[in-house]
Amino acid sequence: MAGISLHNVGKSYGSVEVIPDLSMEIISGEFLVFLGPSGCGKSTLLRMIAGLEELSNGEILIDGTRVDALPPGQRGVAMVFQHYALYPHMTVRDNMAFGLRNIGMSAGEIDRKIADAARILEMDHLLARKPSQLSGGQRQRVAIGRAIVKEPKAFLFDEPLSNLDAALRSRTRIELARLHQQVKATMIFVTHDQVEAMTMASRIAIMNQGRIEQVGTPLEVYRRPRTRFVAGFIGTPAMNILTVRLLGEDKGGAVVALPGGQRVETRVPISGLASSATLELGVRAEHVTTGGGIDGRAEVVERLGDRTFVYARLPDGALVVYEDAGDSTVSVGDPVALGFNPAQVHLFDSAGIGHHAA
Amino acid sequence: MSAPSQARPVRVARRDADAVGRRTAWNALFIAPYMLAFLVLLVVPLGLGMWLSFQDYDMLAGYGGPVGWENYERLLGDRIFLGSVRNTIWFVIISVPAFVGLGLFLALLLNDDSRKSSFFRSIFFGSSVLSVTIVTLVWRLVYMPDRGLLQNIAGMFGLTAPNFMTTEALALPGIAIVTVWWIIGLPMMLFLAALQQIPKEVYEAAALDNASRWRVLVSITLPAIRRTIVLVAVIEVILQFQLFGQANLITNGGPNNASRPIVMFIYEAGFRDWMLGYAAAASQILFVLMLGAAMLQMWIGRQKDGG
Repeated sequence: MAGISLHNVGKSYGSVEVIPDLSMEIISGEFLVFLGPSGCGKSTLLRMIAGLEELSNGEILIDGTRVDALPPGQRGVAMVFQHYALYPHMTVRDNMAFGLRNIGMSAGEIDRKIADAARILEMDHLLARKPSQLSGGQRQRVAIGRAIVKEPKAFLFDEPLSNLDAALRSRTRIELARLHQQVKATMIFVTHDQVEAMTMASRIAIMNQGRIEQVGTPLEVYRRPRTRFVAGFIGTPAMNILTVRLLGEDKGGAVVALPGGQRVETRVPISGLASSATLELGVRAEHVTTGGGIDGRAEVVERLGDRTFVYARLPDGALVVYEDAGDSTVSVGDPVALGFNPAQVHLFDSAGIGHHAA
Repeated sequence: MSAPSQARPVRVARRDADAVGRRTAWNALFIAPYMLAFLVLLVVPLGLGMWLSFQDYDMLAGYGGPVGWENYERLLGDRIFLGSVRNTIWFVIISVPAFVGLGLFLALLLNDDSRKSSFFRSIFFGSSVLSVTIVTLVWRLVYMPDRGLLQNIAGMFGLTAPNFMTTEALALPGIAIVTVWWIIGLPMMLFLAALQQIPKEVYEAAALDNASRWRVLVSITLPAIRRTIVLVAVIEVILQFQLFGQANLITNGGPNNASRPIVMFIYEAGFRDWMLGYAAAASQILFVLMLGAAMLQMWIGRQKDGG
């Protein structure tokens, strides 16, 4: 169990800069998820921590020791790959023993560690099989087992759930969360799936174009997105974003107007907003209320059983999604009247920085 | 009016679906061109050769009728033939491991995307396109006893180069060196293709598992390309049993028959001495040797597979 420090880490391939300059602290024992769209540099960052990619700039410390010049095997980390990367001609037992034999561990010790890991992952019956005789989920389990036996300072996961079907993915998610509680090791998990990030992470680092947009607990990034990118990326359906104009201040909060002129009250302090050239309003579907002063027409109705998402077109052309009850009677074409919960409205300035209710 | 027009497409569709799965005589047409070539150029000559080997068929003396196993009995008492069998087997034994070992070594060395590697890949493969005449001509200049390249190089160090063309024990090794130099490209390419099939992630996992380069080679790379190793060995066994051109042009089977291979014996018996039955019998023995060696290779490959 160890903390990991990234100091001014940079990575370029020739003239292409993947990660310009990134610094962050990963706290010992936490489950940190790097979340971002494809090509945002999250996998590259993980591979740099593992030692599979060299750094162009900066340094990486694990447990206070500088590791960026060490070969991967000497960094004390274990990695679970997207395609498992099991050794195809070795049995499950040999797959798990390989790394331990390479550091000269005694056979008895190796057997004990494999037995422990097999018990934790409930895969005793698989030990004599070869990877080709395993299902996708079982292979995933072996890959995790291979990491566990090494008792690493940190576990690195590179989108390990993306090859599993939906049911297995949600089950493995729970198992990984449980594993984290059991072994209490630092875990770094890379994914583009926000559900994985929200459900497993102690903290999420949201990345975009090689930069970290925000680091915070799942609820922090959901409730107080630091930037417009985070606001749009986290949450399904995505947060409604509408262009607005600042009207003034009322009861300590900014008052804005939609393009159609409708007045929207917020609890966002006005300081810092007046100087912004443009302003955007963000509000999640569950914070849009019915019965307000904003008129629209239902265009798409998504019934999920427990709730209903209604996509309503405003007169100015903007599309607003709101959450309605599961037994909502709204149907396509119906007129709807909407309002925004002032305490839950966010405003984003021209630099994309979010301003929230105090 | 409307009922038939609705029924017709259904019936047509069903008939089409049937036709796809049904075996009809017309299907044979598609494989006929290959079948014809296969029968006329392979099966018939193979059968004809087997038949000939049991005949007394001398182009000069004419057809003398069937003779049973007589050709084979004569071959087993023919010192030159037995010598050629020994030579050929010895040649296979020294050349095939060289093809496998060196081919793999070059492939491992050149298995990356660098420009340097692709340059050397072309160089090593390039010699394969040369004809045997050119290759042997070049190597005769290298091996030439007094003025050859080898002697010139050895001479610079005050040494005498071994004489591959006129020393009995060195004649076949000399031909093996030429052969490996000539067609090492194919094994190398086959190994390269196999190496590129191994996922990069597996090597990364091995790096995180503290595996040394030697461990990676022995525990990851070699097991992953085991089938290709067997394939290359089988191909080379079959190819090298048929040694002819290099031996014919470099040493002409000498000195003292030390480098006379079976194919050369067959050629001389058939097309110099015109004893077609005798030559055909020798061919059948070569066929059995090659078949046996290839099957042995494959059996060894399977043994490892199970273990």
